[in-house]
Amino acid sequence: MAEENTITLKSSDGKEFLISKKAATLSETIKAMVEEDNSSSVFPLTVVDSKTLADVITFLNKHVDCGDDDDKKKSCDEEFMAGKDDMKDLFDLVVAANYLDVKDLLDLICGKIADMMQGKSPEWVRKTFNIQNDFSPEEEAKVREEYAWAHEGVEED
Amino acid sequence: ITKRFTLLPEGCIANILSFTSPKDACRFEAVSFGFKSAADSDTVWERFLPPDYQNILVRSSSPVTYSSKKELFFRLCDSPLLLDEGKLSFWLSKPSGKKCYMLCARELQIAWIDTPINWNWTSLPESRFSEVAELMSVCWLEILGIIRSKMLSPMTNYEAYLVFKLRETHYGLDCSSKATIKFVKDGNLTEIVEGVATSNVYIVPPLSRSVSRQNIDGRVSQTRSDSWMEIELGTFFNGEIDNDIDIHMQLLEGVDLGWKKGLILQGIEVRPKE
Repeated sequence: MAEENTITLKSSDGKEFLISKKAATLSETIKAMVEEDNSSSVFPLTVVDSKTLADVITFLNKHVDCGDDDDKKKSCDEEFMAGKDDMKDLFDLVVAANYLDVKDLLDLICGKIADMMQGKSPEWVRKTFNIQNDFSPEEEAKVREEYAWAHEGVEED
Repeated sequence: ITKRFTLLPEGCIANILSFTSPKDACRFEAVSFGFKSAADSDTVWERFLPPDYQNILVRSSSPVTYSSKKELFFRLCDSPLLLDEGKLSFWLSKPSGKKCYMLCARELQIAWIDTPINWNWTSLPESRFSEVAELMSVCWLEILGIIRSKMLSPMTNYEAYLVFKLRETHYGLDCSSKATIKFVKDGNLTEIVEGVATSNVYIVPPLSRSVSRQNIDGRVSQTRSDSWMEIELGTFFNGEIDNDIDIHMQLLEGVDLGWKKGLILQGIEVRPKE
């Protein structure tokens, strides 16, 4: 009975996590995996490491417990996000939520990253997200000029 | 650090940007080609448009065409729409995407408006509306605009302004008037749901009364970029959407009661405080 209702998720670094089917299938990707292969009980997730997967599983379990109660979900999400302000961890979670197709988690993390970007300069975004500026100086000047109003009152760093 | 962010598909960047603001998204176009492409996407601008924008577009006097959500957004920022047979002007605030409105003078409740010796209807080419109201002569000056809370963006600080011009021959408008903002439940004036905010305003600064400008006990009017003038009636916080709440915005001079003339009224504007 218990076995039928749980599955095992295996992270990219080989760690195994037991999770209820109900929680796991909040991920559209896992749902499709389970539907396609009903006989397996272990599902390898090659792009999600164990640290990130543990976080995702915490989120899925919390959301199953909340059911359809939006207020409860909101306070669960606040609890889940508390202390999560390391950009590297947040990126790992975005990649995982995108791959696993968990819309609530993806929106939650994207919203958090967006809050951290508020009022910041393009230079800050490049540095923080480690993005190569692939504009030529002329191209960049043109984009900045087109949206000059959006650069007003922003601290350059 | 590895190049983590470049691993994110454009859809993820667009999703992140859709949680920022129009101003942030436009600024981040300068980050890289990938960001520019994400920041132009419909995913982002669909979220910056008001949730009910489709319903607003169908109320427009002239059809609105657009090839992308971003184009529509800027169209709504740069050229206000006339809604509801020209009674209402609607546009979006560019930095935040919040809704802005101007109620035309015909939509306002004005004391003595039906008596042509007191108020007259005329038209001005520089007005957004087909008619403006001209004050010919009154003692009791009372102008009230009402807007439903649900028409405005929720969780937003708004400011209300009286938008007007003055005839060169204006007279008597340099006395103190009371500007009031109040929240009224479902048209029932006896049920005011929040505290009433009243302040002193001067349509014309009382310089002729030998009072220096610094000592004026109230707000004075400002000239707008569109050559009209405006005076702030007050600010208010529009919270969660509540279907029954009206916001009453009033200008009243019922104390001095001197003769007044020469005010040309375009309407009352409501826009976010930014």
